[in-house]
Amino acid sequence: MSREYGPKSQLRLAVLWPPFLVSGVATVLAFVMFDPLPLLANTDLAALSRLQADSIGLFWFWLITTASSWLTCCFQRPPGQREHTAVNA
Amino acid sequence: MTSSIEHFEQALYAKREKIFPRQVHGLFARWRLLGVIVLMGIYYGLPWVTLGDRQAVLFDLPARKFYIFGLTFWPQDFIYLTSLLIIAALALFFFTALAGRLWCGYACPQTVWTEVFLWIERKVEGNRAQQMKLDKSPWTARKLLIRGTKHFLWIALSLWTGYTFVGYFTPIREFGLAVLNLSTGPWETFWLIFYGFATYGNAGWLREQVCIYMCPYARFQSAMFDKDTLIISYDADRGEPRGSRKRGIDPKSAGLGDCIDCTLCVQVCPTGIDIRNGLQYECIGCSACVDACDEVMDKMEYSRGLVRYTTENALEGRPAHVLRPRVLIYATILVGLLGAVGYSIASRVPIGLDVIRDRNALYRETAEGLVENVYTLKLINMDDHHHRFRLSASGLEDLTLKLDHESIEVPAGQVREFSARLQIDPVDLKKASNEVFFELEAINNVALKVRESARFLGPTGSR
Repeated sequence: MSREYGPKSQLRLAVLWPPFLVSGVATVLAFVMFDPLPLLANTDLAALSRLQADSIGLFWFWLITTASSWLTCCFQRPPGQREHTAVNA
Repeated sequence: MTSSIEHFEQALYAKREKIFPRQVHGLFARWRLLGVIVLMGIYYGLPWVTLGDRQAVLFDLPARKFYIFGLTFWPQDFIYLTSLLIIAALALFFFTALAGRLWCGYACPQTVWTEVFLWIERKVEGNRAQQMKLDKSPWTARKLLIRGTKHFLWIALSLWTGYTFVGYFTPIREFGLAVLNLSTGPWETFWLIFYGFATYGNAGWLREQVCIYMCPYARFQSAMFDKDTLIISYDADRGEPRGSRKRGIDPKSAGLGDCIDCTLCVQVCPTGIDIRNGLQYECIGCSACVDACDEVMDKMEYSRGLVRYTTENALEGRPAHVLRPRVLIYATILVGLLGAVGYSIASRVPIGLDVIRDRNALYRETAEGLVENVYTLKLINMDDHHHRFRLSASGLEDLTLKLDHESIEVPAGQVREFSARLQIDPVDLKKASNEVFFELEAINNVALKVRESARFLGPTGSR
């Protein structure tokens, strides 16, 4: 039984999904360790509540980890290869 | 025009044949049902349990306090969260090495919620054959009504799931009132919908694709397997050559094995694989095929276990070993960690003391010629009772502690910051940097005491 993959959508999820898992854990660990309020006290974000800060923190982590994940996908391809078929192999 | 559902199925991730798992009855199905009821009961019920005048389990993010029944954890108890995560991971390793994908088949939220969603689907759309017929039929008013009802129920359950999720972080009763008044905060609303949508998408639409494509555990669990790990396997020696036959015929005389090729094991599989093709990583070990095949074997009056829980060694006729080095190692570490965390929580002193040296001056000399260091102390009373504390200092001879007040009062669950000064005659100072200790003791409860070290700085050497 052979399956045909949609490489584009699969690549997109492969870039987005693992970062989401990791940033979930990272958010819990980070905000249990550090209270966001004193950290933000002297910034423009001082008005945020903890729940807001934690939620934004999650998306911030997600953004950073996605960048890392995306770079991994880029580097996974051997240099010189042009087409976007990293997962298609 | 193709239906929107078909289009969704095609485009979302991979081309996929829609799976309609057939309902299964039997021993393992009953175990899974028990798992579903217990786990769902815990998830949906726990936020409603109250202890005294507060929610028994509440992760109060705004106040940074985490209530788990009688215990109140603070961010300072970070180590427990870390230990809990390590214990959870080790337990997963242990059970995987011992019994394969038990987690996937019985306890994973993906499995548990999918079971509930499948149950709703069966109640609304009927059995497998009816579901398949409905799926193929054109969009009539009847189909619209049935599908609409199903999705309405799914979405209702998903929103309730999201509501419950938020209820772990914000008091669920007050949040319920806020929902009824449509006065929830923006982030609470966001998380309710986000978590609800994730439930709806994962358990309603994605199902086995989560296990096959999205689950990290599914990818690395095989590393914990060995030849003695419990797996679900088809006994090919006994079953082959497969083929249909009339009931009552001796299979040997017809040149057949015990497998009647009824394909029920394929029809019940939630990930749509054929267990007879051997161990596959799509197999989540739910044992639906075991139940299905046992039922067929009973009808055929063959012995059960053509598809069964077994091990690679047992299939090859070698003796099985339950106690192997990896199982023993995982078990030892697990028991050790559990014991350590249990002891540590039981003997936890619910007060905390943070000592921060004044950063502006290393030291100063008083009018009397003494060397003085200034500290900011943060006292955290994590207990449920109000306490009065006494502070003392030690570590150097003739060290004097100067405080603004004799004793420090901290109400339950509060933090108090105050400054303390340590003074010493420079003659008694042998080194530039010395270790000193602050000792804090509750006046009304001598069991509540902590000791925290700090540095005391002075001029180099004695005069």
